[in-house]
Amino acid sequence: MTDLLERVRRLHAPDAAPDFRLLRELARTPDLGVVRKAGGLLAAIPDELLTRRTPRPLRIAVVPAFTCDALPRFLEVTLRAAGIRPRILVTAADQLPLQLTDPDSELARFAPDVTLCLLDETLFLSGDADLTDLDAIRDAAVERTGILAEALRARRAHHPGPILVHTVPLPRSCRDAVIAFRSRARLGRIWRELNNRLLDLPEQIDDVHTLDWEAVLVEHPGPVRDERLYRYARMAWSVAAERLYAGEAARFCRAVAGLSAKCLVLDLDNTLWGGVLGDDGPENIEVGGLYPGNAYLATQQTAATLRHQGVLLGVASKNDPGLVERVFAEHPGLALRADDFAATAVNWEPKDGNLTALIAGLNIGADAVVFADDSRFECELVGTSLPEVTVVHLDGDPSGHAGRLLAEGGFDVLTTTGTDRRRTELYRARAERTRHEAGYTDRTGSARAFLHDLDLRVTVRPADDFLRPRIRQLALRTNQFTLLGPAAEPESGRVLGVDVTDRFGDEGTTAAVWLAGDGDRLLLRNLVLSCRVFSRGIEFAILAAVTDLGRASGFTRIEAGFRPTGRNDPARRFLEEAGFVSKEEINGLIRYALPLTPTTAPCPDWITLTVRENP
Amino acid sequence: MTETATRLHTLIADQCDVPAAGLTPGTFFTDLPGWSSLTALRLLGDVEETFGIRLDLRRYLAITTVGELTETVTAEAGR
Repeated sequence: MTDLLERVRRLHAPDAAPDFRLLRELARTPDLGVVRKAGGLLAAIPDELLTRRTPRPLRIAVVPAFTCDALPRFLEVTLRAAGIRPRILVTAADQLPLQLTDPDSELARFAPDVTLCLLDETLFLSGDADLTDLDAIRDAAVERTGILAEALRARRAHHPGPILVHTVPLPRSCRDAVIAFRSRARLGRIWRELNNRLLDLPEQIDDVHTLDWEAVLVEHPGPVRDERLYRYARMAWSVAAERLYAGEAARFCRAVAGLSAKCLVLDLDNTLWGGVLGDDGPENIEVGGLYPGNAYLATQQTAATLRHQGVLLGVASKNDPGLVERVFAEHPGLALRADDFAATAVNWEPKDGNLTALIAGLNIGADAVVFADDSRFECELVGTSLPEVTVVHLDGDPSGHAGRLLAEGGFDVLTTTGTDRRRTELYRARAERTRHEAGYTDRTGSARAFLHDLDLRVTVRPADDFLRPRIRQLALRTNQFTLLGPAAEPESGRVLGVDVTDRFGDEGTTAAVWLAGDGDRLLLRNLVLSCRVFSRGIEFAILAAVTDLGRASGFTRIEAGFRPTGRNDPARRFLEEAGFVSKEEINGLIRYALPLTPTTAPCPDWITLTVRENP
Repeated sequence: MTETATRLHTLIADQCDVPAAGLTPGTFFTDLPGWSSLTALRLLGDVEETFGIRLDLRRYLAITTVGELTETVTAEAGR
């Protein structure tokens, strides 16, 4: 038991060697006491001893309606394991509505990036409620969910940033106290209606999200509550339930921090189908039909479902490429086809090199990639040489594989948009464009000729309600071409979306710019550009649109703030290439300025630029 | 020292960040650094998980020394 704890303690030594596996093992161990203890010790351990990645700092407020003693420590473990460096505030129990509504509350002063509201039934059902008067129970539930919604609205009015609430289980002691089956069923219905109202909050209040905690608990083996601790210390959840919640909260925080995985790279033999294609032949691989083929088919269907929500799929397999192509074209039982994949590497080369090339081809960060393989050897190889990639080892019974991909992959996002459904074809078109470009370079050595031939059209337009979710997503997903880093969406000012099309297809909204005026200065609050459309001069077309707007409104210069994140150097290079000059650095923000003259920032001559007044 | 006592001392030491060797049956919990009712509940969780037992909370809260806890756990684990 103390093995893991010993390893945590060792990291407190001044000359401690790093332990990169520790967080993952802590996040998985069933020993609650060890995790709780470790959570308390981890806070003092520097990141470089625990991970090779640069963690995202995140301020997390826990606003509980009851005492949740162990939760902060569990959060420390699950969040650190998820790539987040948390700063956690837990407000006093029983103050939930006050904390949300008072503009000077502890919560308000903490200014969290994420707020986790912990609810229990007492918020909706008073202790002296008459359980035989179901009409009164229902009325109280409706009224009190209304009060909670108002408190959330009040909080939203003076602070942005996502809030997570959750559905609430009805304690068994309440349910069983109603002895008539018919009345008990009605109580169940009233309670589900209450939870439905909670599940409906995201539709009503901007950036409020609901975890279906009641559904999560269905798979939880123990009681949600230890009645002794509840009566003595108002601990509404058992320690095991608090840990379960910490895991769900970490998934939410990952999505908030823009750390969601964007790409799933799959092995083929014994991963997407049973058997070895080269040995068994296309007609003998196991997929679909009876067990175990149906389990492999479920893995494929899960991958397809991810793809429809914007996750890119890739293949990394040691196989005969011709044979693989034939299987995807001809095998009647597959749920995935060749055009479901944004990139493939089917050959006999080592998988780490293949994966590196595949990631480079897609132009995404390795930390946004999940690699899944049944072979321990391949998993170890990739995990060692590409530590930023999330590795899911699909060993054991294939019927567990689909669930493991979803549990360990970190694909959760806050919302999906229309662009997500089309993302694979967008990347495939991009790959085709690259091949086309390579052809140009080979023939004429001129990338410019290629750009002219692309027929690039850029449209800049104000954001409306339909565009805003996509723009928020762009702000969240963009790591490289961003002035401020992901998840930093300026709150005020004007927001413009940028649509890009070329002769290979419509890229959709791939950039966004936030503007505000200040005296004679036009402030470029942020500019984000999807890595999908790098190297085509799009950013210069956007700047041309911005300078046009600026001149028309009488501004004399443009100012931009750049915050280095270690990943966003492309954005800095753009500013300098465009003629911005750095002036000063304040609190990690470098101020750049560009005077506005009639000749500032012309649009590249291979781009047709349209600026629209209306969405 | 019995095996139960040794394991208990480790749990208490882990919970309070004190060396296990410094604990005796006569040690008062209230003398341990940072001891509070929450620490008591955390220790209760550890003890119950480790020994696979469930204690009567009233009896547990009445315990004042390490030795008394060892006796209570030994009795409960032997039932």
